[in-house]
Amino acid sequence: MNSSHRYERWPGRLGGRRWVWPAIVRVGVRLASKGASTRLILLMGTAFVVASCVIFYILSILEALGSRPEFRELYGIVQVLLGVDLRGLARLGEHREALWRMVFMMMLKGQLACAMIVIAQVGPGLIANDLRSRALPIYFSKPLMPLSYLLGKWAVVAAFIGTVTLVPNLVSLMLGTLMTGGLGSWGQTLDLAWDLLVLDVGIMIVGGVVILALSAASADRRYVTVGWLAVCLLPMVAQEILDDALPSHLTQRFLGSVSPYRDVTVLADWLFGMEAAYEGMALPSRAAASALSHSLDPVYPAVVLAAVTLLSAILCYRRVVRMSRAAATL
Amino acid sequence: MAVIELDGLSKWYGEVIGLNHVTASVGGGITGLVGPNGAGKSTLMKLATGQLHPSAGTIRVLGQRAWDNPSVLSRIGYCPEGDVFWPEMTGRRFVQFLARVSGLAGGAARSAAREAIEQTGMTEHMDRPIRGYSKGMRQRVKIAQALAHRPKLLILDEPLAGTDPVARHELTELFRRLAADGVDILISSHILHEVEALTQQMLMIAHGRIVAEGELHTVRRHMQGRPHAIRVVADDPRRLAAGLSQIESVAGLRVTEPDTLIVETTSPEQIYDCLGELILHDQMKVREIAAADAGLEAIYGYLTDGNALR
Repeated sequence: MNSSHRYERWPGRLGGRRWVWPAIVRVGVRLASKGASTRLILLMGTAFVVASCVIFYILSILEALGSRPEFRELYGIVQVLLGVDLRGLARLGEHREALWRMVFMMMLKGQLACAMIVIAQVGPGLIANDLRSRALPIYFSKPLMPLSYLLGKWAVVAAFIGTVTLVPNLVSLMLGTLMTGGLGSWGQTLDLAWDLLVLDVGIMIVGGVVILALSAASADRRYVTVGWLAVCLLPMVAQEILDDALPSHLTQRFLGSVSPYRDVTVLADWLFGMEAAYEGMALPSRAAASALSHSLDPVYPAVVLAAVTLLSAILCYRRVVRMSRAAATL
Repeated sequence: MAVIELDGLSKWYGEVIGLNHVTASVGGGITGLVGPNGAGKSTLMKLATGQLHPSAGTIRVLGQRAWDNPSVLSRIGYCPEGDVFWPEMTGRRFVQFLARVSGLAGGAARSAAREAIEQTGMTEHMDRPIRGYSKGMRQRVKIAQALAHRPKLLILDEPLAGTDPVARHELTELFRRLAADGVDILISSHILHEVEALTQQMLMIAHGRIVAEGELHTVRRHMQGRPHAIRVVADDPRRLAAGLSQIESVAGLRVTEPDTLIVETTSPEQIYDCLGELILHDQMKVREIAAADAGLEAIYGYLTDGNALR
């Protein structure tokens, strides 16, 4: 072992703890990306972009065609012959934002399912692996605080959730805007971009914090995965049973939502203003009611999700601090 | 200036005492922290690296408190005792990552990691996943991560454990070189001769208390008047034993091998004089005379037998 390097103390300033967490994110993302199944799921993010862009493209064509006079005459003929009122197509451009909100709402359900699987792939090992390999003492012998450690770990899972939710949504929105009205129509969809940002960041926070709390609860990632699937799936099953077994006024007014999946969709409905969007398009009331199948008051789901997230964050923080001390005593 | 200062430092885990009202200081250079398993070595090191909060008393590292103090932690390199790896990571990535966690920026972390890996002789294996490393290689890569951010103080918990003789020699040389370059090192071990080969500066710990501190020869001097063992290799050890049995300071005589006699005495000087006379007057052939218990092991055994030297 012959080293040409003479030891010299670091001459410059160290970065301090403020920027330590991005290092944890980089390593976490790199390690998690190695799984073939994770890469496959991330491809789903691209699939969402493609699907929504195809829909936006079709809508843009219909918008362009609907405004031509010859097609207006055609609508009248269709109404006479088939009894179908297509006159709304002539005003499709006016409802662009509402239609896009519907498209994103439709996408959201698939994205949520995808996010659940991504979290199940990436999240369980984030803290559990460190507990198993007793890495916490080495982390906390560095200028790293538990909060920075948790922020780094959360950002890993958030990055993967974002890849199947936020990124495809914003890319779709951008491409859709370019396809329909160019940059001139950007202002029309700015509110939608903001809503998507709020919703997807919310999903990242809730999903990320809950999986971190579960990951900190065990050194065996298999148990964490089972725990996560239980958290996701059992309430969905319970919700279905309640919906079928009880009258709707009971489930809607008193029991509210049991499933986090349902909570998110209810909040998304409210955030996207879906009720107003359907009303604005003058859809038949039955169709609108069917589309708004989860017409719950958003306060209840918001409180439930906020409480679950806060409780998970507290448990996770306490557990990491306790485990770092416990590991240090070994 | 003391690198680590302990003042009435205690740490207990429930009813178990890890450290018991310890007051001591660790100076510059290499200091050995010696004690059997469970003596409190790792507890002291974890207190020094801010992983544990003292139950009572204070610990100051590089002039500052260690607990919740990132500025002092960035000047310490810590090599823990156990394995702390992500097995799928390569050695290079592991060291680079922890260099970044220590506060080095991307490019600086890369070059610092490479240098630290080179210093520990792991360049050849740095791009292999850690899961394929031998115990010795794992120890080296752990030391590399402690070195990467170029700390002022290295705290090494059993760094030579599990290493083969060649690696042990190389790491010992590395520690000496680092100390010569101005790095202060606190190194723990329960294998006493490992530390003795590195330094004369000792902190001996048992049952959560410091039983001796200072230069090894000073500790040894304090043991005057206590039984010492002298090993004599001679052609006829039984005849030699008969001659020595007349001396008042001899506490015991044992023939351990056909040609070896162990003399236990409270006055080694008297035995050396007497051996000279026996050789000259009785024509006894003596091939070797050596202190059988001058090593740290014997001193430690004596100290932990209820006799503290401070």
